[in-house]
Amino acid sequence: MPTTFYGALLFLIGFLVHVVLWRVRKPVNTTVTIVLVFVGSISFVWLALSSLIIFQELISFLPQEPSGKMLSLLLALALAVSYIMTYPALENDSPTLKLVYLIAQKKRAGETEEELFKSFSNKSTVEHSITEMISEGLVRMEGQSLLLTDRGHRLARIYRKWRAILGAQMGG
Amino acid sequence: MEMVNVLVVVALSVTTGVLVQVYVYRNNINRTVAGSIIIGFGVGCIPLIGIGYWLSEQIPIDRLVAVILIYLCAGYSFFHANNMGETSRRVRISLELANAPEGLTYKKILNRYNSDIQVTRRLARLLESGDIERSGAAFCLKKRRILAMYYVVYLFRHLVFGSMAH
Repeated sequence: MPTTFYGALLFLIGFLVHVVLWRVRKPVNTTVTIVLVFVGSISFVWLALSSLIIFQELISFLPQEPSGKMLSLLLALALAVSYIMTYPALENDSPTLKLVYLIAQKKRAGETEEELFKSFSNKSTVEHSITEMISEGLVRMEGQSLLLTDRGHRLARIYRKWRAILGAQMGG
Repeated sequence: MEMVNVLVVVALSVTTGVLVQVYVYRNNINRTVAGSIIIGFGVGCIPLIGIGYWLSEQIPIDRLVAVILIYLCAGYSFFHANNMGETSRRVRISLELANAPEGLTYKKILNRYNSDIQVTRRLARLLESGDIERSGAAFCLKKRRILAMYYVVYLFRHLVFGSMAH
């Protein structure tokens, strides 16, 4: 399985770089940084192993044909995209996961809606999201009001169009 | 040429999956985002397996496994992107702000979207998907799949941030 193995290896290298960077100092704009870290490190290692003859003896177990190498790169990037899509759930408390955890803790007795309301505050949910949106350049403050930036408008447009295609109402 | 074939297989399967999901959701066959995606994903496997079987005579099995994994990743990423439209707080706040060109104060945002609304909407979705059930005034866990996801996320969080307090 050289192609699959190589793809997984490239992804793991990107993941290791990400963990080391985050442990040393977590970046402010995590969304852009995590994309750059994975794309940068995976592409760099792939290019180095593909082009530098010095490594050829060491990597004889990896795919040698260009199509195999390309497929490994694609697999590594696909794995990276999957991880990046999951990352927000790691960084922020997912309310759905937290709800299920709180309900599970009470076992057969269950948890009432009122008790669940008390476990969530606007500060930890809405306020925290707005702070992050400001740091990621999706939203800006103007006096007392919050306004979408061009980037924020693009995000809203994509989801508005997609939900219109699905025929779904506003989520959240 | 081999790479083109491989890319066509993945693109065709993903496109089939997306179209089926839209059809299933729009026509109320399954009105949950997760459910409609799972159906779309399953149907998308049909061209993947069909063309994959045909390609198996032309390309090594190792590369076919890579193609299947790429399709799985595409399906998983699509599920997350779609789910963000349904559950993401950022997307919801962005849509609220997009509907107010003059902007919104924090108080006005809270009038439209607050933690109580978040809890109510999520409880409704969890009830609809059968993950929890009502027992009198209380909610009880019915399926453990989201709890399993909670522990996976917990482990990864520990691995990436070193501690839960990040």
